[in-house]
Amino acid sequence: MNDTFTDLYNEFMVFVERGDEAGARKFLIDNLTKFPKDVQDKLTFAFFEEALTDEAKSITDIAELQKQGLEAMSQIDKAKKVIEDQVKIKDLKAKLSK
Amino acid sequence: MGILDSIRKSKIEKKEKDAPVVVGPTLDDVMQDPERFHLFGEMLKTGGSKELSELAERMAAKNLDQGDFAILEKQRKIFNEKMNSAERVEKWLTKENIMDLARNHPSFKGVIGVLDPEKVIEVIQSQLKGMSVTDEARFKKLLSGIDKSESFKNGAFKKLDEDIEKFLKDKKISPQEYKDAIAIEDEKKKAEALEKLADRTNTDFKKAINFLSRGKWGKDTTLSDLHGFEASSAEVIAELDNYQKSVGATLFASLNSNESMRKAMSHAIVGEEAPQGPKKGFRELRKDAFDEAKIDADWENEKKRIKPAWSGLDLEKKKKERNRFISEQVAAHKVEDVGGGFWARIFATLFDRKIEDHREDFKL
Repeated sequence: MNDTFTDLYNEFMVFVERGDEAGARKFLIDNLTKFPKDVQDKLTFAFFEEALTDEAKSITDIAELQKQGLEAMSQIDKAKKVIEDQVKIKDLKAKLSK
Repeated sequence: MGILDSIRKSKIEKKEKDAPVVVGPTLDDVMQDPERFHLFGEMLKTGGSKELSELAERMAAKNLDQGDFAILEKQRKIFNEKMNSAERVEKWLTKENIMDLARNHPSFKGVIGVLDPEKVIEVIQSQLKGMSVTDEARFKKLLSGIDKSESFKNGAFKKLDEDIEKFLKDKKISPQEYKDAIAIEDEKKKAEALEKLADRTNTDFKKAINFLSRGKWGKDTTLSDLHGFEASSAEVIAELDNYQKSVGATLFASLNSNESMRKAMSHAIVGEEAPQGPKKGFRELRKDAFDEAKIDADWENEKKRIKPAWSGLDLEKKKKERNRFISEQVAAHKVEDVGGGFWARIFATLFDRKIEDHREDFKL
Protein backbone atom coordinates (compact mmCIF):
# COMPACT_ATOMS: atom_id res chain seq x y z
CA MET A 1 0.00 0.00 0.00
CA ASN A 2 1.30 3.42 -0.93
CA ASP A 3 0.37 5.81 1.88
CA THR A 4 1.55 8.89 0.05
CA PHE A 5 -0.68 8.12 -2.89
CA THR A 6 -3.63 7.38 -0.60
CA ASP A 7 -3.11 10.71 1.17
CA LEU A 8 -2.91 12.57 -2.13
CA TYR A 9 -5.96 10.74 -3.42
CA ASN A 10 -7.96 11.64 -0.32
CA GLU A 11 -6.90 15.28 -0.53
CA PHE A 12 -7.84 15.35 -4.21
CA MET A 13 -11.24 13.86 -3.41
CA VAL A 14 -11.98 16.77 -1.05
CA PHE A 15 -11.92 19.08 -4.11
CA VAL A 16 -14.01 16.59 -6.03
CA GLU A 17 -16.63 16.38 -3.29
CA ARG A 18 -16.79 20.15 -3.19
CA GLY A 19 -17.20 20.27 -6.97
CA ASP A 20 -14.18 22.57 -7.11
CA GLU A 21 -12.77 21.82 -10.55
CA ALA A 22 -10.26 24.66 -10.61
CA GLY A 23 -9.00 23.68 -7.15
CA ALA A 24 -8.69 20.02 -8.19
CA ARG A 25 -6.74 21.02 -11.28
CA LYS A 26 -4.39 23.22 -9.27
CA PHE A 27 -3.93 20.48 -6.69
CA LEU A 28 -2.84 18.00 -9.35
CA ILE A 29 -0.29 20.42 -10.79
CA ASP A 30 1.06 21.58 -7.43
CA ASN A 31 1.48 18.02 -6.22
CA LEU A 32 2.41 16.39 -9.50
CA THR A 33 5.88 15.29 -8.44
CA LYS A 34 4.55 13.74 -5.22
CA PHE A 35 2.49 11.17 -7.11
CA PRO A 36 4.04 7.77 -7.88
CA LYS A 37 5.97 7.80 -11.17
CA ASP A 38 3.38 5.85 -13.20
CA VAL A 39 0.54 8.13 -12.03
CA GLN A 40 2.67 11.24 -12.57
CA ASP A 41 3.39 10.17 -16.15
CA LYS A 42 -0.26 9.52 -16.95
CA LEU A 43 -1.35 12.82 -15.44
CA THR A 44 1.27 14.67 -17.46
CA PHE A 45 0.04 12.94 -20.60
CA ALA A 46 -3.58 13.88 -19.83
CA PHE A 47 -2.61 17.56 -19.51
CA PHE A 48 -0.70 17.37 -22.78
CA GLU A 49 -3.67 15.76 -24.56
CA GLU A 50 -5.98 18.43 -23.27
CA ALA A 51 -3.67 21.22 -24.44
CA LEU A 52 -3.30 19.65 -27.88
CA THR A 53 -7.04 19.02 -28.27
CA ASP A 54 -7.90 22.60 -27.24
CA GLU A 55 -5.35 24.00 -29.65
CA ALA A 56 -6.65 21.91 -32.55
CA LYS A 57 -10.24 22.88 -31.74
CA SER A 58 -9.38 26.55 -31.60
CA ILE A 59 -7.70 26.38 -35.02
CA THR A 60 -10.60 24.49 -36.61
CA ASP A 61 -13.31 26.64 -35.05
CA ILE A 62 -11.80 29.94 -36.09
CA ALA A 63 -11.12 28.72 -39.62
CA GLU A 64 -14.76 27.61 -39.87
CA LEU A 65 -16.01 30.87 -38.43
CA GLN A 66 -13.97 32.86 -40.90
CA LYS A 67 -15.26 30.83 -43.83
CA GLN A 68 -18.81 31.55 -42.67
CA GLY A 69 -17.89 35.19 -42.21
CA LEU A 70 -16.59 35.51 -45.75
CA GLU A 71 -19.77 33.92 -47.03
CA ALA A 72 -21.87 36.29 -44.91
CA MET A 73 -19.96 39.31 -46.22
CA SER A 74 -20.55 38.21 -49.77
CA GLN A 75 -24.26 37.71 -49.06
CA ILE A 76 -24.52 41.13 -47.44
CA ASP A 77 -22.98 42.66 -50.53
CA LYS A 78 -25.41 40.88 -52.82
CA ALA A 79 -28.35 41.78 -50.59
CA LYS A 80 -27.39 45.43 -50.61
CA LYS A 81 -27.21 45.36 -54.38
CA VAL A 82 -30.68 43.80 -54.68
CA ILE A 83 -32.21 46.39 -52.39
CA GLU A 84 -30.42 49.28 -54.08
CA ASP A 85 -31.77 48.06 -57.43
CA GLN A 86 -35.26 47.93 -55.95
CA VAL A 87 -34.91 51.48 -54.70
CA LYS A 88 -33.83 52.60 -58.17
CA ILE A 89 -36.80 50.81 -59.80
CA LYS A 90 -39.16 52.36 -57.27
CA ASP A 91 -37.73 55.84 -57.93
CA LEU A 92 -37.97 55.33 -61.67
CA LYS A 93 -41.59 54.18 -61.42
CA ALA A 94 -42.40 57.22 -59.31
CA LYS A 95 -40.80 59.55 -61.87
CA LEU A 96 -42.63 57.91 -64.78
CA SER A 97 -46.01 58.15 -63.11
CA LYS A 98 -45.60 61.88 -62.53
CA MET B 1 22.32 -12.47 -74.77
CA GLY B 2 20.82 -15.72 -76.07
CA ILE B 3 17.09 -16.43 -76.12
CA LEU B 4 17.27 -18.80 -73.15
CA ASP B 5 19.28 -16.31 -71.11
CA SER B 6 16.76 -13.65 -71.96
CA ILE B 7 13.83 -15.84 -70.83
CA ARG B 8 15.65 -16.75 -67.62
CA LYS B 9 16.41 -13.09 -66.88
CA SER B 10 12.82 -12.06 -67.47
CA LYS B 11 11.62 -14.83 -65.16
CA ILE B 12 13.96 -13.67 -62.41
CA GLU B 13 12.84 -10.08 -62.88
CA LYS B 14 9.17 -11.13 -62.70
CA LYS B 15 9.85 -13.15 -59.57
CA GLU B 16 11.57 -10.17 -57.95
CA LYS B 17 8.70 -7.93 -58.98
CA ASP B 18 6.10 -10.28 -57.51
CA ALA B 19 7.98 -10.79 -54.24
CA PRO B 20 6.15 -9.24 -51.29
CA VAL B 21 7.52 -5.88 -50.25
CA VAL B 22 8.62 -6.01 -46.66
CA VAL B 23 7.98 -2.64 -45.09
CA GLY B 24 9.58 -1.97 -41.73
CA PRO B 25 10.91 -4.56 -39.34
CA THR B 26 10.23 -8.18 -40.31
CA LEU B 27 8.34 -10.57 -38.10
CA ASP B 28 11.64 -11.97 -36.99
CA ASP B 29 12.92 -8.47 -36.07
CA VAL B 30 9.77 -7.88 -34.02
CA MET B 31 10.14 -11.21 -32.22
CA GLN B 32 13.79 -10.56 -31.39
CA ASP B 33 13.31 -7.07 -29.99
CA PRO B 34 11.95 -7.33 -26.42
CA GLU B 35 10.18 -3.94 -26.51
CA ARG B 36 8.57 -4.55 -29.90
CA PHE B 37 7.72 -8.12 -28.96
CA HIS B 38 5.90 -6.88 -25.85
CA LEU B 39 4.02 -4.17 -27.76
CA PHE B 40 3.11 -6.56 -30.55
CA GLY B 41 1.67 -8.95 -27.97
CA GLU B 42 -0.28 -6.11 -26.35
CA MET B 43 -1.72 -5.13 -29.72
CA LEU B 44 -2.92 -8.67 -30.36
CA LYS B 45 -4.36 -8.97 -26.84
CA THR B 46 -6.28 -5.71 -27.03
CA GLY B 47 -7.34 -6.13 -30.66
CA GLY B 48 -10.83 -7.12 -29.57
CA SER B 49 -10.89 -10.59 -31.07
CA LYS B 50 -10.66 -13.87 -29.19
CA GLU B 51 -8.54 -15.41 -31.96
CA LEU B 52 -5.93 -12.68 -31.75
CA SER B 53 -5.92 -12.79 -27.99
CA GLU B 54 -5.28 -16.56 -28.08
CA LEU B 55 -2.62 -16.01 -30.69
CA ALA B 56 -0.91 -13.56 -28.34
CA GLU B 57 -0.88 -16.23 -25.64
CA ARG B 58 0.60 -18.83 -28.02
CA MET B 59 3.19 -16.30 -29.13
CA ALA B 60 4.19 -15.49 -25.55
CA ALA B 61 4.48 -19.20 -24.79
CA LYS B 62 6.50 -19.67 -28.02
CA ASN B 63 4.00 -22.30 -29.05
CA LEU B 64 2.93 -21.10 -32.49
CA ASP B 65 1.15 -23.22 -35.10
CA GLN B 66 2.14 -23.22 -38.76
CA GLY B 67 -1.07 -21.37 -39.68
CA ASP B 68 -0.32 -18.59 -37.18
CA PHE B 69 2.44 -17.08 -39.28
CA ALA B 70 0.13 -15.81 -42.02
CA ILE B 71 -2.00 -14.00 -39.43
CA LEU B 72 1.09 -12.70 -37.66
CA GLU B 73 2.48 -11.37 -40.92
CA LYS B 74 -0.75 -9.47 -41.55
CA GLN B 75 -0.72 -8.11 -38.01
CA ARG B 76 2.96 -7.17 -38.34
CA LYS B 77 2.06 -4.72 -41.11
CA ILE B 78 -0.62 -3.10 -38.95
CA PHE B 79 1.85 -3.02 -36.05
CA ASN B 80 4.56 -1.36 -38.13
CA GLU B 81 2.13 1.31 -39.28
CA LYS B 82 1.25 2.05 -35.66
CA MET B 83 4.92 2.22 -34.70
CA ASN B 84 5.60 4.62 -37.58
CA SER B 85 2.77 6.89 -36.44
CA ALA B 86 4.03 6.79 -32.86
CA GLU B 87 7.52 7.68 -34.05
CA ARG B 88 6.10 10.57 -36.04
CA VAL B 89 4.49 11.97 -32.89
CA GLU B 90 7.72 11.36 -30.95
CA LYS B 91 9.60 13.47 -33.47
CA TRP B 92 6.96 16.18 -33.36
CA LEU B 93 7.50 16.53 -29.64
CA THR B 94 10.16 19.21 -29.71
CA LYS B 95 10.76 21.78 -27.03
CA GLU B 96 9.46 24.48 -29.37
CA ASN B 97 6.16 22.69 -30.05
CA ILE B 98 5.67 21.88 -26.39
CA MET B 99 6.28 25.48 -25.37
CA ASP B 100 3.84 26.69 -28.04
CA LEU B 101 1.14 24.44 -26.62
CA ALA B 102 1.89 25.55 -23.07
CA ARG B 103 1.61 29.20 -24.03
CA ASN B 104 -2.08 28.71 -24.82
CA HIS B 105 -2.94 26.33 -22.02
CA PRO B 106 -2.48 27.46 -18.41
CA SER B 107 -2.68 23.96 -16.89
CA PHE B 108 -0.15 22.48 -19.26
CA LYS B 109 2.01 25.54 -18.64
CA GLY B 110 1.79 24.66 -14.95
CA VAL B 111 2.96 21.11 -15.65
CA ILE B 112 5.92 22.42 -17.67
CA GLY B 113 6.73 24.68 -14.74
CA VAL B 114 6.77 21.78 -12.27
CA LEU B 115 8.66 19.27 -14.41
CA ASP B 116 10.62 20.85 -17.24
CA PRO B 117 10.05 20.72 -21.01
CA GLU B 118 12.63 17.99 -21.63
CA LYS B 119 11.19 15.84 -18.87
CA VAL B 120 7.65 16.38 -20.14
CA ILE B 121 8.70 15.36 -23.67
CA GLU B 122 10.38 12.24 -22.30
CA VAL B 123 7.29 11.29 -20.28
CA ILE B 124 4.93 11.75 -23.23
CA GLN B 125 7.21 9.92 -25.63
CA SER B 126 7.49 6.97 -23.27
CA GLN B 127 3.73 6.38 -23.50
CA LEU B 128 3.11 6.88 -27.20
CA LYS B 129 3.94 3.47 -28.60
CA GLY B 130 1.95 1.73 -25.88
CA MET B 131 -1.05 3.94 -26.53
CA SER B 132 -0.83 3.46 -30.30
CA VAL B 133 -1.31 -0.30 -29.89
CA THR B 134 -3.73 -0.44 -26.96
CA ASP B 135 -5.93 2.63 -27.47
CA GLU B 136 -6.32 3.32 -31.15
CA ALA B 137 -9.17 5.84 -30.88
CA ARG B 138 -7.32 7.97 -28.35
CA PHE B 139 -4.11 7.81 -30.34
CA LYS B 140 -5.88 8.80 -33.57
CA LYS B 141 -7.32 11.84 -31.85
CA LEU B 142 -3.83 12.81 -30.79
CA LEU B 143 -2.51 12.38 -34.32
CA SER B 144 -5.33 14.47 -35.69
CA GLY B 145 -4.49 17.26 -33.23
CA ILE B 146 -0.88 17.20 -34.31
CA ASP B 147 -1.85 17.22 -37.99
CA LYS B 148 -4.02 20.30 -37.39
CA SER B 149 -1.28 22.07 -35.53
CA GLU B 150 1.21 21.21 -38.27
CA SER B 151 -1.13 22.35 -41.06
CA PHE B 152 -1.64 25.59 -39.22
CA LYS B 153 2.08 26.18 -38.82
CA ASN B 154 2.78 25.17 -42.41
CA GLY B 155 0.31 27.71 -43.69
CA ALA B 156 -2.57 25.51 -44.84
CA PHE B 157 -4.92 28.20 -43.59
CA LYS B 158 -2.85 31.00 -45.04
CA LYS B 159 -4.98 31.19 -48.17
CA LEU B 160 -8.12 31.74 -46.10
CA ASP B 161 -6.33 34.38 -44.10
CA GLU B 162 -5.21 36.16 -47.24
CA ASP B 163 -8.72 36.02 -48.73
CA ILE B 164 -10.11 37.64 -45.60
CA GLU B 165 -7.49 40.35 -45.47
CA LYS B 166 -7.99 41.14 -49.15
CA PHE B 167 -11.76 41.24 -48.73
CA LEU B 168 -11.51 43.64 -45.82
CA LYS B 169 -8.99 45.79 -47.61
CA ASP B 170 -11.25 45.98 -50.68
CA LYS B 171 -14.11 47.00 -48.45
CA LYS B 172 -11.92 49.52 -46.67
CA ILE B 173 -12.87 47.97 -43.35
CA SER B 174 -10.55 49.02 -40.60
CA PRO B 175 -12.03 48.08 -37.25
CA GLN B 176 -10.36 50.46 -34.87
CA GLU B 177 -11.63 48.72 -31.79
CA TYR B 178 -9.89 45.55 -32.78
CA LYS B 179 -6.64 47.37 -33.32
CA ASP B 180 -6.99 49.17 -29.99
CA ALA B 181 -7.46 45.84 -28.26
CA ILE B 182 -4.44 44.32 -29.95
CA ALA B 183 -2.34 47.30 -28.91
CA ILE B 184 -2.92 46.70 -25.18
CA GLU B 185 0.39 45.64 -23.67
CA ASP B 186 -0.88 43.85 -20.59
CA GLU B 187 -1.56 40.31 -21.82
CA LYS B 188 -4.42 39.70 -19.39
CA LYS B 189 -6.15 42.99 -20.17
CA LYS B 190 -5.57 42.40 -23.87
CA ALA B 191 -7.18 38.96 -23.69
CA GLU B 192 -10.14 40.44 -21.77
CA ALA B 193 -10.57 43.25 -24.31
CA LEU B 194 -10.39 40.83 -27.20
CA GLU B 195 -12.83 38.49 -25.57
CA LYS B 196 -15.25 41.37 -25.00
CA LEU B 197 -14.87 42.56 -28.56
CA ALA B 198 -15.18 39.06 -29.95
CA ASP B 199 -18.28 38.49 -27.88
CA ARG B 200 -19.96 41.64 -29.14
CA THR B 201 -19.03 41.16 -32.76
CA ASN B 202 -20.19 37.60 -32.51
CA THR B 203 -23.65 38.75 -31.51
CA ASP B 204 -23.80 41.03 -34.53
CA PHE B 205 -22.30 38.37 -36.71
CA LYS B 206 -25.04 35.97 -35.78
CA LYS B 207 -27.65 38.69 -36.17
CA ALA B 208 -26.36 39.37 -39.68
CA ILE B 209 -26.65 35.74 -40.64
CA ASN B 210 -30.12 35.49 -39.17
CA PHE B 211 -31.19 38.69 -40.83
CA LEU B 212 -30.05 37.46 -44.21
CA SER B 213 -31.41 34.01 -43.87
CA ARG B 214 -34.50 34.78 -41.76
CA GLY B 215 -33.30 32.12 -39.40
CA LYS B 216 -32.65 29.64 -42.19
CA TRP B 217 -29.19 30.24 -43.49
CA GLY B 218 -29.18 29.38 -47.18
CA LYS B 219 -27.41 31.01 -50.09
CA ASP B 220 -30.14 30.86 -52.71
CA THR B 221 -33.27 31.57 -50.73
CA THR B 222 -31.70 34.61 -49.06
CA LEU B 223 -31.54 36.77 -52.16
CA SER B 224 -34.89 35.72 -53.55
CA ASP B 225 -36.45 36.57 -50.18
CA LEU B 226 -34.98 40.02 -50.42
CA HIS B 227 -36.82 40.71 -53.67
CA GLY B 228 -39.93 40.91 -51.55
CA PHE B 229 -38.58 43.90 -49.64
CA GLU B 230 -40.48 47.05 -50.38
CA ALA B 231 -40.69 49.23 -47.37
CA SER B 232 -37.91 51.11 -45.61
CA SER B 233 -35.14 50.15 -47.97
CA ALA B 234 -32.91 52.88 -46.61
CA GLU B 235 -33.14 51.44 -43.11
CA VAL B 236 -32.44 47.96 -44.41
CA ILE B 237 -29.34 49.17 -46.25
CA ALA B 238 -28.15 51.03 -43.16
CA GLU B 239 -28.64 47.88 -41.11
CA LEU B 240 -26.75 45.81 -43.64
CA ASP B 241 -23.90 48.32 -43.48
CA ASN B 242 -23.72 47.89 -39.74
CA TYR B 243 -23.68 44.14 -40.05
CA GLN B 244 -20.97 44.34 -42.63
CA LYS B 245 -18.79 46.33 -40.26
CA SER B 246 -19.45 43.89 -37.44
CA VAL B 247 -18.72 40.83 -39.50
CA GLY B 248 -15.65 42.59 -40.79
CA ALA B 249 -14.41 43.23 -37.27
CA THR B 250 -14.80 39.57 -36.46
CA LEU B 251 -13.06 38.49 -39.61
CA PHE B 252 -10.27 40.93 -39.10
CA ALA B 253 -9.09 38.75 -36.25
CA SER B 254 -7.28 36.59 -38.73
CA LEU B 255 -5.85 33.18 -38.02
CA ASN B 256 -2.30 34.39 -38.01
CA SER B 257 -2.94 36.85 -35.23
CA ASN B 258 -1.31 36.24 -31.92
CA GLU B 259 -2.13 33.35 -29.61
CA SER B 260 -4.13 35.31 -27.07
CA MET B 261 -6.39 36.41 -29.89
CA ARG B 262 -6.94 32.89 -31.07
CA LYS B 263 -7.68 31.77 -27.55
CA ALA B 264 -10.07 34.65 -26.90
CA MET B 265 -11.81 34.10 -30.22
CA SER B 266 -12.12 30.44 -29.59
CA HIS B 267 -13.72 30.96 -26.21
CA ALA B 268 -15.86 33.96 -26.91
CA ILE B 269 -16.88 33.64 -30.53
CA VAL B 270 -17.30 29.97 -31.03
CA GLY B 271 -18.74 29.43 -27.61
CA GLU B 272 -20.81 26.41 -28.41
CA GLU B 273 -19.10 23.06 -28.31
CA ALA B 274 -18.89 21.22 -31.59
CA PRO B 275 -20.96 18.04 -31.47
CA GLN B 276 -18.62 15.42 -30.12
CA GLY B 277 -20.99 13.07 -28.39
CA PRO B 278 -21.59 13.04 -24.68
CA LYS B 279 -18.63 14.17 -22.66
CA LYS B 280 -18.58 13.60 -18.95
CA GLY B 281 -17.84 16.64 -16.84
CA PHE B 282 -16.07 16.98 -13.53
CA ARG B 283 -19.15 16.63 -11.36
CA GLU B 284 -20.60 13.65 -13.17
CA LEU B 285 -17.34 11.79 -12.83
CA ARG B 286 -17.47 11.77 -9.07
CA LYS B 287 -19.32 8.49 -9.19
CA ASP B 288 -16.38 6.97 -11.06
CA ALA B 289 -14.10 7.59 -8.11
CA PHE B 290 -12.80 4.65 -6.14
CA ASP B 291 -15.49 3.59 -3.69
CA GLU B 292 -13.81 1.18 -1.31
CA ALA B 293 -16.97 -0.10 0.41
CA LYS B 294 -18.80 -0.70 -2.85
CA ILE B 295 -15.92 -2.41 -4.57
CA ASP B 296 -15.34 -4.69 -1.57
CA ALA B 297 -19.04 -5.58 -1.54
CA ASP B 298 -18.90 -6.29 -5.29
CA TRP B 299 -15.94 -8.60 -4.71
CA GLU B 300 -17.77 -10.52 -1.97
CA ASN B 301 -20.78 -10.91 -4.27
CA GLU B 302 -18.54 -12.02 -7.09
CA LYS B 303 -17.04 -14.75 -4.92
CA LYS B 304 -20.54 -16.06 -4.18
CA ARG B 305 -21.32 -16.22 -7.90
CA ILE B 306 -18.20 -18.19 -8.84
CA LYS B 307 -18.75 -21.90 -9.50
CA PRO B 308 -17.63 -24.30 -8.14
CA ALA B 309 -17.90 -22.95 -4.61
CA TRP B 310 -15.22 -20.44 -3.60
CA SER B 311 -14.17 -22.43 -0.57
CA GLY B 312 -13.34 -25.40 -2.79
CA LEU B 313 -10.88 -23.47 -5.01
CA ASP B 314 -7.13 -23.67 -4.49
CA LEU B 315 -5.07 -20.54 -3.80
CA GLU B 316 -3.82 -20.15 -7.40
CA LYS B 317 -7.32 -20.36 -8.80
CA LYS B 318 -8.54 -17.80 -6.25
CA LYS B 319 -5.75 -15.40 -7.19
CA LYS B 320 -6.59 -15.85 -10.85
CA GLU B 321 -10.24 -14.98 -10.14
CA ARG B 322 -9.15 -11.93 -8.15
CA ASN B 323 -6.95 -10.76 -11.04
CA ARG B 324 -9.86 -11.18 -13.43
CA PHE B 325 -12.16 -9.18 -11.13
CA ILE B 326 -9.61 -6.35 -10.88
CA SER B 327 -9.04 -6.32 -14.65
CA GLU B 328 -12.78 -6.08 -15.19
CA GLN B 329 -13.06 -3.19 -12.74
CA VAL B 330 -10.20 -1.33 -14.42
CA ALA B 331 -11.74 -1.97 -17.86
CA ALA B 332 -15.08 -0.64 -16.62
CA HIS B 333 -13.37 2.62 -15.66
CA LYS B 334 -11.27 2.82 -18.79
CA VAL B 335 -11.68 6.02 -20.76
CA GLU B 336 -13.73 5.65 -23.86
CA ASP B 337 -12.81 8.18 -26.44
CA VAL B 338 -16.37 9.24 -27.22
CA GLY B 339 -17.45 9.87 -23.65
CA GLY B 340 -14.02 10.63 -22.26
CA GLY B 341 -12.31 13.87 -21.69
CA PHE B 342 -9.64 15.31 -19.47
CA TRP B 343 -11.33 14.46 -16.20
CA ALA B 344 -12.34 10.99 -17.32
CA ARG B 345 -8.65 10.28 -17.95
CA ILE B 346 -7.62 11.69 -14.60
CA PHE B 347 -10.21 9.61 -12.74
CA ALA B 348 -9.32 6.48 -14.70
CA THR B 349 -5.63 6.97 -13.84
CA LEU B 350 -6.31 7.46 -10.15
CA PHE B 351 -8.78 4.57 -10.06
CA ASP B 352 -6.23 2.32 -11.74
CA ARG B 353 -3.61 3.06 -9.14
CA LYS B 354 -6.04 2.95 -6.24
CA ILE B 355 -7.34 -0.50 -7.10
CA GLU B 356 -3.79 -1.73 -7.62
CA ASP B 357 -2.86 -0.52 -4.14
CA HIS B 358 -6.00 -2.21 -2.84
CA ARG B 359 -5.23 -5.56 -4.52
CA GLU B 360 -4.19 -7.43 -1.40
CA ASP B 361 -7.24 -6.15 0.49
CA PHE B 362 -9.56 -8.25 -1.66
CA LYS B 363 -9.78 -11.19 0.67
CA LEU B 364 -9.28 -14.60 -0.87
